[in-house]
Amino acid sequence: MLNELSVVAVAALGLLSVAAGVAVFVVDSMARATFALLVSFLAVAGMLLALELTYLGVVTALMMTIEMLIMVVFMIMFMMNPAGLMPMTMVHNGRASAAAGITVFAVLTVGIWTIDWPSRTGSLPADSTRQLGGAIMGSHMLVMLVIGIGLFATIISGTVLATHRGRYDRFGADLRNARPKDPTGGGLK
Amino acid sequence: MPDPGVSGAEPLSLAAAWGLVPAVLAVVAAALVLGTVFAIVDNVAINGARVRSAAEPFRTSLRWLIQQRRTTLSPDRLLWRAGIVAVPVLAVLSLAVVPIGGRTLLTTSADLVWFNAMEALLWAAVWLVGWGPNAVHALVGGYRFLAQGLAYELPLMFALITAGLGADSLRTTGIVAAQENLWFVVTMPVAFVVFLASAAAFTFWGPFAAPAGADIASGVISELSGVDRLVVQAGRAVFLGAAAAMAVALFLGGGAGPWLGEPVWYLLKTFAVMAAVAAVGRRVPLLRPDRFVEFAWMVLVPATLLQTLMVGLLVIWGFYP
Amino acid sequence: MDSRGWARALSPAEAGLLLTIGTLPAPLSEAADLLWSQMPQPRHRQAIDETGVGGQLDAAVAALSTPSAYEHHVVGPAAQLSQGSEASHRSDGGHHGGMHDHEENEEDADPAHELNHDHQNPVQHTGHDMGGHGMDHDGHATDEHDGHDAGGHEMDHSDHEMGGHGGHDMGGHAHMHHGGEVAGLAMAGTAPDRDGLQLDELKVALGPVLAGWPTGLVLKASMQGDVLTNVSLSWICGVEDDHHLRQDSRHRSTLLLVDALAQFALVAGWPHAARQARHARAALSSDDPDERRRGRRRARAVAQTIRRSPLLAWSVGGLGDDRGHAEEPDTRQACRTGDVLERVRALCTVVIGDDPSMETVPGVGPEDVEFLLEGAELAAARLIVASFMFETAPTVVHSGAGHA
Repeated sequence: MLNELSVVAVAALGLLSVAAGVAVFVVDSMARATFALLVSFLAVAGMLLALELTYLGVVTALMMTIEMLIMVVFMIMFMMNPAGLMPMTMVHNGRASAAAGITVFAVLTVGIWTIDWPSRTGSLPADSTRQLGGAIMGSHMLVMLVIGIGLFATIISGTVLATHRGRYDRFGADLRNARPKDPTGGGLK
Repeated sequence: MPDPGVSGAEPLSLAAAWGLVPAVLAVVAAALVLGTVFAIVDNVAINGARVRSAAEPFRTSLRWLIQQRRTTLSPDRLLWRAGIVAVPVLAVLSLAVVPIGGRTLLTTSADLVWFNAMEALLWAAVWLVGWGPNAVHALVGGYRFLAQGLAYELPLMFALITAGLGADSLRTTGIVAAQENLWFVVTMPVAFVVFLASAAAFTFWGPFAAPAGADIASGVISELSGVDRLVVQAGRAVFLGAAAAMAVALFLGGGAGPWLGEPVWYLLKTFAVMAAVAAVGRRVPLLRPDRFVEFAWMVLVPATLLQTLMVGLLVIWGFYP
Repeated sequence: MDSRGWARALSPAEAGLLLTIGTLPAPLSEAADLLWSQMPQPRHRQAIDETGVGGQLDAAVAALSTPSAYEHHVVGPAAQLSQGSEASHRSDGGHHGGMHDHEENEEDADPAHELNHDHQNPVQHTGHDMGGHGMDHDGHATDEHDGHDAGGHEMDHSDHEMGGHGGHDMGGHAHMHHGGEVAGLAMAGTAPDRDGLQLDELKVALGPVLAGWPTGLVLKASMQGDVLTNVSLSWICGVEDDHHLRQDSRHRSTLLLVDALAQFALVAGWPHAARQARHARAALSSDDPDERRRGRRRARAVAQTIRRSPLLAWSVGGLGDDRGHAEEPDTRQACRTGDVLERVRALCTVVIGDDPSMETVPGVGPEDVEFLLEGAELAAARLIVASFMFETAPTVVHSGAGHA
């Protein structure tokens, strides 16, 4: 069962998460917005840790960090404005987005507090990671495999569609070039 | 958080055994020792085995302590400082799941993922250190680190998970216990080498030092002086020390060894790993990230996946106890 | 000197000691001033002249631990930069490194080099470009020895260990063009990039003082991501050879070759080889024939290492190939040199001396290299520049040339 400390931690991290989320739209630099969002995600990861869902918490931190840093590459690198010297607003179409945000927040909050959540049957698992793995890879193995491969295929096809260079550019019209012709060489000859 | 293990025989965490504060202090002390030893070993690798090589890390630290901190024009001070402080903090946190002496500060049911997450957070920290000062070379260094991260991250994850797979546990203490008969390095040589190379890559050291390369005036760390530089450099050394200690737990049987006590063996093996890494890493030229990315994706990712597959098959055949 | 265990700084933030050799011509002394303004305290600046180099170095180190290394009314680098756009404009990239150790005499002079090495005064100069090229003067030799002895005691000062310094950019980034101003800095504008995208560009300059870079050479360009466009490369002032060296051109060219190897190894991220090359160079510039023989042996060894390294070949091969380049000036067709790796291997071959057909490496001027840098990434550009042996620049300084 959760002890009082966990409850306090969850509440505090929840507030931090919301505050950091708000900060995303308040700060005037893309870098700060990105890292405010990361703080928000890390607070959520902390909440999961406080709930003793170790694996989920740690994996959230890991994935969100890498994700934010990839975002840094795309959103900041191509706008070479070191240290965000040029203030910019993080909000577009402020009124409509504020309305949408408040509506969603209200719906979720009402839902969370009014749904009759089932109470725990059985006891806390000795190893939540193992139980999670069993749940995912046991009865839902087929579903997870299909989803996983589907997502992966989506990523690959998205990349293929986005790049303007294909194998014919690299290996010639008949694909016979021994070495690919690239603007900058890679590590494999 | 003591977390009663599946078998009911999981070792107590250091925090549970000693109390939280002493345990944290012990881990911080271990971090300082590992970082200092690595700095010395590294210096010996660069300058040869002279007395002054051993003294160098202390003198340099002292110099940084009394040195003025640098400011630049229009820095993003908040993010810069956050990144600087994060480097050593993450290094110590990563050490929290390394079982020096048979116990970890925390025992979570996902130690390996914890270690991996601390290293991933380092992406953010290093990029911030490069971004903060509002300087071209530092920023280029920060982005180089991300490019390098995209290269080493997947092979590193596969290397880590291979050890977990062989032990059927994500707990480092469980992984050490599983090597009672045979060290994992024997069946997982690829994972071992990739893990050490990745450790050099995420601390941008040796052949992976491009983010702090001489061609960009030491890149991410180019604008750091005084205590800022001390903190970042110490964080890198501790991270490398922690990674060497982790390699011992994952692949070299942890503290197992005859006669001497477990912590002694553990530290000896850790120092040996550090020496090997420093001796090799300081003698090879830089592997430029734009070349290394392609190699990592086309060679290392398949190689580590095959390694994982092989270990998976061994598990199915009951090779590991 | 490496023998003193001094490390060379790669950026001003890392430096404690700024050594200049002789009297600097105006553009370089401005660069040195800028660099100095960016160094954190405690710091010390010392001009080295012909007499008593060792003693001067010791004095410099000792000064670091005295109150004079701190200033009370500090003008922070940031403040200085914003004082004038001029300052910030030029600061971009320079840096240079600080010291190295060496065992031999020469080297001492090197550290100095970094920055400065040019003197107006024709009598003595060391050449040096950054990394220490040529700095040997016989005069120093004796001094140096003194220096060495003293070196023994050096260890006690903790602070000074590293003397290097580098200049670097702080201002750096600052210069951006179009797009308004923030904090007194012009912001980045956008321009089409080499892949046809419209990307932000940043105006940068590298040099004239920068670790692993020919001193006095300045590269100005727009940077998009880390790709350089609109590159211009020129000397803002030259470095004159030491007159002693001029008398023995063969010896001089060997020294320059070994310096070039050391520079290249540094830029290519191979500090181990760079250190070996510096050691070899130190021995080579000794007055003692035995020492020089040893230096030649070491130089050959390090050249072999560099020439044979498969990892280096993998890492830098194919960059900066000047053959069949669309933009190459026709007049230069005759002296195509291949890519970075081939040029460096040629350097090694000349140093080793095992190919009689290769006696020397042709010197080039900035105009021969400029076209290769267009569209190159920053790292590639540094390697390309480091792979050439630049002809000594005209010593004449065009005052306006620096930063137009």
